Amino acid sequence: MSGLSYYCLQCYKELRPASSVQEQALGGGPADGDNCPHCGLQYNPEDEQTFVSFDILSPWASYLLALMGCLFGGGFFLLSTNSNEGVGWALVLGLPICAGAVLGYSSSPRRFRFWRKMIVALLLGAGFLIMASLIANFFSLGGVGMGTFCLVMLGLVFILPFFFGDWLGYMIRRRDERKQRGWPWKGMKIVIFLLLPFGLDAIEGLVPRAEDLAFVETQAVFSAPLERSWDSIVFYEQIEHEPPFLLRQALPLPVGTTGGKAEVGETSRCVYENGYLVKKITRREEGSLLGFRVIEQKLHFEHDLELREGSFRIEPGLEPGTTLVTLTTIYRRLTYPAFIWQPAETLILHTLHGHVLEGMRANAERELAVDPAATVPMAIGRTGSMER
Amino acid sequence: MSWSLALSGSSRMKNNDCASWRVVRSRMDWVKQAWPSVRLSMELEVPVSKERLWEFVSDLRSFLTTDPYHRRVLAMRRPIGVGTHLAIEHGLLGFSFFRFGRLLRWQEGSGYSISDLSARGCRQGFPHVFNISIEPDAGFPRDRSKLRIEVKGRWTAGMVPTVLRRWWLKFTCRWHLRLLRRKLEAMYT
Repeated sequence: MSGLSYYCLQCYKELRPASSVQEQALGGGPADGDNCPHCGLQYNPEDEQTFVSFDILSPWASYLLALMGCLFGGGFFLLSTNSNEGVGWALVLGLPICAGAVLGYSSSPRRFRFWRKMIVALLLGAGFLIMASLIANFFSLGGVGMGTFCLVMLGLVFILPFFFGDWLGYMIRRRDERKQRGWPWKGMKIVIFLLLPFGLDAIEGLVPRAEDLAFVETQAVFSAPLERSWDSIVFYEQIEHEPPFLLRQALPLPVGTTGGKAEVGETSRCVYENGYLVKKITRREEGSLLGFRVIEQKLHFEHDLELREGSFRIEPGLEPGTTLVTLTTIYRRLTYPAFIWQPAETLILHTLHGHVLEGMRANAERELAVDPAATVPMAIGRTGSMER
Repeated sequence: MSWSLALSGSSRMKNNDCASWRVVRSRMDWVKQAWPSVRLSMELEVPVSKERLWEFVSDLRSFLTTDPYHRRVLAMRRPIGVGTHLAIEHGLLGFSFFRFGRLLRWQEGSGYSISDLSARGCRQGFPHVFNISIEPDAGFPRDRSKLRIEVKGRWTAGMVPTVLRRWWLKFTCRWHLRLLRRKLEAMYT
């Protein structure tokens, strides 16, 4: 530990009592005190209780602490995303709060303005990932179980708890400095902050979690008669149009479908770039409903959600010659807290649904395109998503 | 004002000097003021002389921490005189924080005043002033004296309902009186 700086007890702005101490040492009379240049509060340079002193970590101690933070954070990140069932409270709130608390606790009032904290937060996030990847490679654990989109989302989710943790850590540090606690005590607090996410994760693991099913439903209007729309769904094979940006970033791209949907019990395989989904037809009502159950999922978001079942429901549209198609997906949520992740899940599934329905609509309307009256552009609508 | 034992209470204590049972009596008075002004007064009748009581009251560290929320009082300059800044460490619900004030008035042997202001500024967080005065009992000037603590302040938490505000202030004053009474009993018995 190196460097000791003095701060006002009231405004925590830096004081410079050294001059008066030096003057006194040079033969001046006993110092009767000074005033804070910012708030005017009196303080006595000879009385440690009238101001706060902060030990500032030496550069090497700071680097060591950052390395420890990355090591513990990365290890926890890996443990939480790979070994556990899914993303939970301990990862989403516990880790950023504790990481922020380490930063806040090791700060003094003079250090780390907001923009510096942002840089530290970004560096810490990158450090977690690098460390998690290194640990995963070293122990052959199979990498960080998250894609780019999830990492960006997690980064956005981390920001507020990180700054809350930073504030909390700084407040605890201020209190400890006022009480003039030594470094063994402070070091113990830092170790507690580093280990706390593991403890929170263990506690979270002890709490039984009920199976949390949710569904997302998307509607599209096909400018085609009901029979043609039904055929376009049942015989749908290839996606030819460009996927939207979000889908390109968040999910493996759907490529096409193989297998049959003609009868109940048949299986079809939806092929994605770098993955697939095997569906079994569970319900078929000719011209109105095609229900399926997902029997195999390998889409690289198995840690986030588990697709269970879905259905295409077909009804006549409001205008003659149109069909209303509703695609529903029921999935098991594996990421918590739900209030944070549900909007993202809904958005992504709506986008995926929209992309698939767009391909089906193009198939259904292809032959009608020669008739300009039949190709009325209809927007894809969303009916919403709900928890079950 | 009449003695209101129901509000604060009284307790018997043994006075060694006189070898007889004496009573420390206390009362609290709520002066109605236009919101957001707050004015409360507490009075204790102590069976000791004014001089002996002043010994206790003039010891700021001891007297001012005989309070429900004051944990520590730091004089920011020595020797203490009028105008000296004070840092008063408060404790509430397990949290501790500093409030700041000054010694506003000092009348040797009869009383003093201090301010108690928030670190965020003098218009935030219930700024208030303590006026502490001692006077001898009119009937028994050598044996009894009165300690009077007056709190004048400005209630700044506008969102708090009036009922809750009143309850909180009365609760705090009762608690303060109880602590003072116990301390005085322990000291002068």
